[in-house]
Order: sequence, then C-alpha cells, then structure tokens
Amino acid sequence: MGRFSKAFEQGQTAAESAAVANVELDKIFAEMASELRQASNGKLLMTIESPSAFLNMIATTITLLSGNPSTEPSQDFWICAQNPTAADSKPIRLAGFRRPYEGFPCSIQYGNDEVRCNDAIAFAAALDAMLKNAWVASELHKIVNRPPKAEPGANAASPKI
Amino acid sequence: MQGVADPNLELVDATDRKSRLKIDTAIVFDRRKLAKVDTKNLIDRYGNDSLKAGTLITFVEPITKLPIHVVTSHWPGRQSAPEYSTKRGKLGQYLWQEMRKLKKKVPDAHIILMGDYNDDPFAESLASFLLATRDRGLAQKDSQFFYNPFWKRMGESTPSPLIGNDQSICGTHFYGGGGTSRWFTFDQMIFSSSFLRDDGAAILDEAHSQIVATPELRTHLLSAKSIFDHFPVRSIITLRA
Repeated sequence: MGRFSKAFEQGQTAAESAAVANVELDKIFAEMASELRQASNGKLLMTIESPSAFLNMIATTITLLSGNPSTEPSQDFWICAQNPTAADSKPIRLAGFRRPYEGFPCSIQYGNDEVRCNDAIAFAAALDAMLKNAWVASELHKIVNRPPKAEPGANAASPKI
Repeated sequence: MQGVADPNLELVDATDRKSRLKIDTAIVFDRRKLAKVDTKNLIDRYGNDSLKAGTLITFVEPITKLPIHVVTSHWPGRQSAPEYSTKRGKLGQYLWQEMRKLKKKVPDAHIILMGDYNDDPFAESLASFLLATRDRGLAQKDSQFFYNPFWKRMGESTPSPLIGNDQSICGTHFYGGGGTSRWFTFDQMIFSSSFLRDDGAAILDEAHSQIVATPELRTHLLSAKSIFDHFPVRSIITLRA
C-alpha cells in the first residue's frame, strides 16, 4: 500500500471515529434536554445554538479579505435555554460550548469555570456540574418562572349582552 | 485579610469547597498596582475523574495597560497522584494547551504560572509536558517554552556545612520521610518567554526568584511538631512605562 492510500485509509477511520463521537455527544445532550423538559413540565427547552449568521458572515468576509481562506467549520457554540410556554420565549445563553470537528475533547465554559471533556462520560459529568452551578441554576429558575403566554382570546373584551 | 487591615490589598479567592472538586488557591494583590479583569478555573475531565490544572486570573497594570495573566495551581499530592501517575502529565499537557490558546488570542501574552505543583522542576509534567525549561536561551528563542527559574533552587543553598552554622536548604518543601531526598522544590514560579526579551514590556528580574527561607521559617519547616511544611517563594518583574 502506498503512502497516500494509507493516509486516505487513516483519514476514513478518523472520520468514522469523529462521527461516532458526535453521535455520543448529541445523545447525552438530548438525554439532558429531555429530562429537564420533563422535570419542568415542558417549561425548559435546552438547545445548542451556533454563532449568529451575522457574525459568521463578518468572519467569512474578514477571512476572505485577509487572503487566508479556510473551510473549517466553526467550533464555537452556545448552550441555551428557553421557555416555549412563556410570553417571552427568547433563549438565553447559559454556557459557551466548544466542539471540535472530532467531537472530543469538547469544552464547556460557564461562570468562572472552563471544563474540558475528553470523553462521553466526562461530558455527561460536566453537564451535571453545570446544572448544579448556582448562577446557571438561578437563570434556569428565572426562565421556568417567566409569565406564560396569554391564552388565545384571553385579552379580548367580553361581549356585551 | 481583615487582620492585615490594608485597604489597598484585595483578595481573589478561588477557593471552592462546595463541590467535590476542591479549588484551594487565592491571590492577594495591591489594587494600586494591578486591576483584576477576569477569573477562570481550568478543569480537565476524563471519565468521572476531574483534574484542576489551575485558576487563570487576568490583571491589567494601570499605567502601561499591560495585561498580565497569572495561573495559580495546587496540583494533587503524591498520595492521590503518585510521581509517575499519568494524571501529572495530563495536568502539564492541559495547562500548556490552555496557555497556547491564550497566546493565540493574545500574541506575546505575559503569563506567570505559580503554585504548589507537588512536582519538582525536572518532573515530566513540568519539564516535558508544560515545557517549563531551565534553558533561558531556548525559552527566549521559542515562545512555546516557559522559563522556570526555580530549576536553580533545587540544590543546597550554601556550599558546605563547614562554614559555620548550617542554615542551608535545598528546596521549598520538607518531608522527613522522603526516600531519596527529604527536600522537594514543589513551589515554583514559571514565566512565558515574553518576560525574557530585552525590549519587552515586562522583564523578569531573575535574581529575585528565590525561596524565602528565614531562620524562623526554617525552624518551623524542620520541626516535626509544626504543620508548616512549605517555604514561600517570590519573584520580581519590572515593567517599562
């Protein structure tokens, strides 16, 4: 086997490992999101948000102007929470989430902590620690207690008889 | 701090004993000389194991506006992570990687790593993984290295016991039950290469990178009855306005 065919084979294995790691990551996050949704009676929706399209556009423009084009996808995300049942259902950012293409090591930044997670068990433990953090917990408390959406027609004036 | 009663001193208390992962370092600084900007705990997780590599505190010097990044560390003791445990290498590697990230964001960043590493300067964790070299010229030339002036604080501090009352020390920590040495240089201050440049905004004044071993502290350190078992260490940096 030639040098490049061997490299190609190794690359394919790396791509498979990355796919497996990313599936593991998504599964753990989905498990957390599902548990929190249940525990809050549907008032907590946890999501991973990518940086805004606007910021991406600026980054792409700067990259092109600097003459140093790169096709590597962004690694920086946010772990967000929102209350889909509330009048104000805007998501808030709870933590930064750096997720490389390979899946691991990923890192979570919240409060004063930056936590690198080298595997799936570590990622689950880091999410667990994040939920126990006083600042994160108080933000979640605020979101759950946001005033609910008005029922359709609730504000309409009563018909005069 | 209340006992000191100096209004210019401020405490950055990173201690956290609420969680299982205990952080037990703090910094006292003079707010006339430095302003604190940010604090970040650097934690590395493998499975259910957590390693606290350090706390990164970013200061700004008010006159020159120079940011100074200080990482305080208290790495695990030899009982929980023995000398050749892979944990120690992981700590060094993780800290080096975090500092590389910082240097990417802040080129020529002035970084000071300090604390009780529970490792000597020659330990693989510090010398090979953190790249804290004894070779000043190498650190000057290549910014991926850090310079560790505490390499020279490992031997006996005076040349011979015959020159009078022997007050010699050979490290910062004394443990009477040590196998091949009772002395260890676990407490160190390590500098990024930006502190070694003649034209730099801040320069390490290396003559003052010392162990503070007064006769009184030495007596306490060598006493089996005392719980005091680490000498303080100090360094001086000079800033250019």
